[in-house]
Amino acid sequence: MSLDVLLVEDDPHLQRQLFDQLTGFGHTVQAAGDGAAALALVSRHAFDIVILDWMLPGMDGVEALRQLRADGMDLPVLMLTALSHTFDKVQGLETGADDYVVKPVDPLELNARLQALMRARKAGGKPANTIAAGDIVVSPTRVMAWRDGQPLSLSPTEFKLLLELAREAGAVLTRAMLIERVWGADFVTTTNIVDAHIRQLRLKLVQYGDDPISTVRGIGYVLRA
Amino acid sequence: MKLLPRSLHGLTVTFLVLFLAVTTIAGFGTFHAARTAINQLVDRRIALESYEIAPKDAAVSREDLRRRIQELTGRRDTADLGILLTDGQGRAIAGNTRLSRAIPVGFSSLDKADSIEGLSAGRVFMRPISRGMRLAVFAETEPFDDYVSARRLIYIAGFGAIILVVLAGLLTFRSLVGRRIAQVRQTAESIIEGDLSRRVPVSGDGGEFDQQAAAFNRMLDRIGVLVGEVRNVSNDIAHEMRTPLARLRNALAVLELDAEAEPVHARLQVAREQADELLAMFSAMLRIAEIDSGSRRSGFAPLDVSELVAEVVEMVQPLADERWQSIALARADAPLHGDRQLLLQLVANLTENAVRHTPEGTAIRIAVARDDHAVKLTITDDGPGIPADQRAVVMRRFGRAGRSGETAGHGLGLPLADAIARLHHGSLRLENAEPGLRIVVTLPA
Repeated sequence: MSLDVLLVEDDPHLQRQLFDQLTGFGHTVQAAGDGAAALALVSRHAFDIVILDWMLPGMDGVEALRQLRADGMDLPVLMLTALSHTFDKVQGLETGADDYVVKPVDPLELNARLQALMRARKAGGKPANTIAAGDIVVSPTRVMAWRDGQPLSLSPTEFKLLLELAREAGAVLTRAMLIERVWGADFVTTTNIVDAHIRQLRLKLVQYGDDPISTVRGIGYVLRA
Repeated sequence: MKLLPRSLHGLTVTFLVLFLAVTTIAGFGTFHAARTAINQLVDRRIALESYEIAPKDAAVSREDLRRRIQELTGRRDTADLGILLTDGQGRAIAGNTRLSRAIPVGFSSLDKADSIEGLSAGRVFMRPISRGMRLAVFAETEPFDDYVSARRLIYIAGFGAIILVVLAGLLTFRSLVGRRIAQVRQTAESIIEGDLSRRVPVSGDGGEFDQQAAAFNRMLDRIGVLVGEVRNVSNDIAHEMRTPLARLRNALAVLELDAEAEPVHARLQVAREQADELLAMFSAMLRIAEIDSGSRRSGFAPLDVSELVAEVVEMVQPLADERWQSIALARADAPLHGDRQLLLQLVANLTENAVRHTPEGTAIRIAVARDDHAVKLTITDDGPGIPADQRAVVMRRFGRAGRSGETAGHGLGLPLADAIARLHHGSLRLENAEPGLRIVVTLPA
């Protein structure tokens, strides 16, 4: 999905790099160096999404976001935070940011998150009773999953992973996104825990068919839609 | 051989024993010396009187003796003397008293048992004079009745008071010195445990102890500044290196996706993974710095360590399964006020370490217990363990012990877990599980 992106970043070097990378993924990008310029651009052009740096000269990112929301703009906003300071994240999300990426930014991670935000926006955010992806059906309310009509016996972690993959079936979910959604935002793992659980999940899924999960090297996993 | 004990306790006891011995000896000595001197004086006086009554080499008639005795007992300056003249059969001839027992010839002592009216202690001089007669002259050795027992009381009261004052002084001194020394020791121990902000209390009296405490504190301030500088430098480096390193890493990652790079793909992946490891190391360093700053304490909330542990075991189980390792969990309710995310990280780090740094087939036991004061989490494995001299090394940043011949990890897992425990005012300890390693995390409830 190619997006119309507003990039708000004051560091010219990083702005240049992100601009090139996002354009490389096929997005249309306009860049701004401060909050005031960003607000002016948003009022003139209908962007799909805004990438907003936390630290900006003059009006900081949170203040710009607050004004954006106060002006009735509800487009998705992804914050860039300098350090993994929990309070920054919490404050950003409370102010109305939809997601955040900790600097230094991994372009693949950033792109995966932009895509996820757009999908979530299109889905309308209404919680579904059951989610279907191919012959897989997941029920978040009943905490159960089936493949080809057969109930799957999953561990809590396997269930959460399958649920997240099924919610965005067909799109890549990065390891960081999966860790964040299953164990919480600040978790750092030194082992390949996600991979190990995915291996277990695969073993259970292939009992009733072929392997519906594919690995995207260096990025994460996709569940076939 | 050490003659003098070096401990405060030993010195106090030794001093007290010496002091008691000297005081007692001095007391008895003066008591005895005074009595001897008095006895000598009294002996001289009664001998003098005796010879006055019956001069040594002159025969005196009975009548003369009786008259002289009467004269003496009537006189004012000799009325306190007891005089008794007896004949060969022991019958009294003259005198102002009676004796209840036979008194030997020469000087001897009298006491209450002799039942002499008005005499509780005294000396008697008995000598034979002509024709079998015997003359006894005696006098009191006390200025008043029962003087000896009264003097004993005075001695006990006097010396007792001295001993009490010295004892009280000594104990006060001892507890004062002991307390100041204990304060220094406690400060040193806190600092050993990583609380560089602790200082020795200064009472403000300007005495030797205060001067010593102030010097000690200045030394700690200086060390604190130096440690802070070193830590800041390394944190600054980590912070500054992250951005360029991330650019490098991202360039590699994008290159990996490039179809033209297909022939060198594997090599690109290795390079990118190495960059990822470096970035993880810097992130962990900055994270430790963030935790050490204590800013996350404001986000503490009630939680149950036991639930976190169960969550981690479920998380790590597949990794353990792949290595044929077993994880046994013994849990009890362990409510605590803390940072859920960080404690999850702590438990996960330690459990991941146990899985990763022990051979296949290792049994891992995790236990959560709580008492009135603290929640205790123990993670025990029956792997090769860490030798005692290596345990301090692995607790240091970037300190890796050569466990099972591998060097995986950035060497920050344990320091990070330790920082999280310290943030919760707790501690992390490595022990020998014989065989294997036991990690004990104590978190005050």
